[in-house]
Amino acid sequence: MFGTLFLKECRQVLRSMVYYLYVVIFVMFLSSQMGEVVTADLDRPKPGQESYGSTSSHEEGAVMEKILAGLVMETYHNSYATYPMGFYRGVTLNERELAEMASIIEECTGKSWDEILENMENHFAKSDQTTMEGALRAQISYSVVPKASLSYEEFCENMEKACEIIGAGSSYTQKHLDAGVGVPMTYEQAVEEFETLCGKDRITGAVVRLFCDYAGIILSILPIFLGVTRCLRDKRAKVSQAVFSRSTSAFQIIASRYLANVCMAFLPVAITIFVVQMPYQYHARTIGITPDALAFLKYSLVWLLPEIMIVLAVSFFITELTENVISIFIQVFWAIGSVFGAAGLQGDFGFHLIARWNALGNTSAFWSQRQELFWNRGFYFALAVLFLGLTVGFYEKKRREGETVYGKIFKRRK
Amino acid sequence: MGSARIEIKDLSKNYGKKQALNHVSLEIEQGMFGLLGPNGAGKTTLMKVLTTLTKKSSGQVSLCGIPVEQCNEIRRMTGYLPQDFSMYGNMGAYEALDYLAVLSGMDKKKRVEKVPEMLEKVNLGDQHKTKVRAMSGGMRRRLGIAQAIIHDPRIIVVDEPTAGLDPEERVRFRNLLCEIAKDRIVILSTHIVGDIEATCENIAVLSQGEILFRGTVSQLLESVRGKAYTMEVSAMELPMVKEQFLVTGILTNGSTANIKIIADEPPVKGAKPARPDVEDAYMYLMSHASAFPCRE
Repeated sequence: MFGTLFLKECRQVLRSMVYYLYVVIFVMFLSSQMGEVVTADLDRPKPGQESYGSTSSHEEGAVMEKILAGLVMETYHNSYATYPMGFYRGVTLNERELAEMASIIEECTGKSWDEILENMENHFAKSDQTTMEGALRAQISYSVVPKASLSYEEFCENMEKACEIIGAGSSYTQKHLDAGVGVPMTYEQAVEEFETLCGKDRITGAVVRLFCDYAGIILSILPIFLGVTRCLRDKRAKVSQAVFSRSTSAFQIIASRYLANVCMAFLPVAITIFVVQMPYQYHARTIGITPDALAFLKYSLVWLLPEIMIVLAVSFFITELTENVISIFIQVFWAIGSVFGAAGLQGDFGFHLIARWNALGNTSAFWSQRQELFWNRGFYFALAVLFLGLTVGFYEKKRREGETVYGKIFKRRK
Repeated sequence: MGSARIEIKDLSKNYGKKQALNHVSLEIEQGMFGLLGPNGAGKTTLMKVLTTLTKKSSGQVSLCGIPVEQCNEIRRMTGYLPQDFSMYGNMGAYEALDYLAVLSGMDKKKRVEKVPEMLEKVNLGDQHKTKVRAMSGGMRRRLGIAQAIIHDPRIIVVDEPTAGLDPEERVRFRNLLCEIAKDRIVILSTHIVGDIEATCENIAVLSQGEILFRGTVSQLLESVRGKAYTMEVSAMELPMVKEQFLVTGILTNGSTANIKIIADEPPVKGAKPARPDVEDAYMYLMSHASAFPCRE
């Protein structure tokens, strides 16, 4: 019986305009991010290359240099990027605050502000600022050396002062310092990284991981619409009472709807990730590496499926509870908060809804944090099951008592 | 399994401070049973209690010997046609009925047999592919009755099924209900007296959550025997007559009007005795609600 209901629900999803919008938006978003097949970053590094990319470093000296570099550049432009409550807010300081900030930098570097600015200008003058690549490279390689006597603790205290001046959500919080910084890679490091990439990711793993990073962003929002549409369809079509009075259990009704939506939401994800993986699979073979042909399935199941599950489960729960579209607003806010709440674009999985790994490779760093990702995804899987259970319970209550939370509030207002 | 009988004892249902049902007691036997009452009388609430869609506040309700609290058992033995029944607009008649049959726990073999049979029964056999969104009100109601009986329930509850139907559809629908009621209980809840008159012998009249009358149509008619009169009045006098008497029919003819009055005594000398109908009895009952003890 459950199987029949499930198939009928899948058919319902397939007939929904919202589902086709879901597929189109998902594919368009992913194409815009990963449309071009770039294999250059997946080739063995050659000695004498201009750049080998960057790697993440938690070494205190490196952290101080890069964080100070960022602070100098933002102070120079008097424009500080902050993300209070997850949303971008540019901060401009007044003269007094700017002077205070300059003195913090002077305190950390042991140099005068003018001297620091002169060094910065000299550094950027050396690079080709007319191309995006040149400007980016100059930015990556720019660093500000702290004074020799500055301890890491003193540095942290100074950054705390900087945070107080700028306000909440700046890039100088302890969370950002702990997340590490990007530093240019050496040839040896690049070769080691490539060996790890070939051994552990077998090329395709790194590609689908980047796919999961982008897909995770859009999948924190798109499935909400599927969930809300399904739950409101009964009300809109005036089917609720005819369904409520049938003998099938609330579990079978809700679980079949939920599972059908999860599967249908996952289907285009699985197909797209497989299509994205294909050219890289071919590339791996051309450079003599046996690719991980099932990487697309492993990553999408572990990384993206729990996200689809929790987003749908929460939208089912809120929509059954309120019988309106408020779930869209709550969950979009949650998704945006998750995107901007993370300290960096790689790792720091914590309990963020969206797991980020915005890099093609950086394999050893990922594998060292893999366990954290598993905990994160396991947590959301369990939470999704919990929300599904709550939805079933509330649906049965509605069925027996004929009242909704919204209905009760509405009645009391009268 | 108990007998095909519904027992309602001292049933009350409150929505906050509002009492929708007030100590209602009823016994309903096999066949058509009409539940009559004005809008807001508590008919839909009573129907919902019987179909487990609303929890009672107090009292006892059992269907075929099974207490209404045993939701799963009750849902298996009841079929419900809600007041505003519809289905997903993008489904065809067959698909919609098949979907609800699955929700009633019917296996594929049974559905393949019963779905076309039910569609034929409600005269939708030729329309099995017609989308619900393209159906007329009458077709939807017929689909509604098909979904209410597809799992062969012992009790069928239909709430205001003929509201908004044209006369032809209404007659067809009533006949269909009578046909179905041969071997089960069919409770027809309505505020349209004509529907009850045409289909039910046993009835109850509900008003403001209380049972005003419980008995047969003949007993209801008995209460107005010798109390119906017709008389001719001028159009000018009509408002005054309406204030003094219970007027149940007016046929205007130029400056005069032929009216039907329900009164305990002949209203005027020239008034002629008339044959009362169920609507007259219902109107008389409603106008004397406070003074009318529940008749069993």
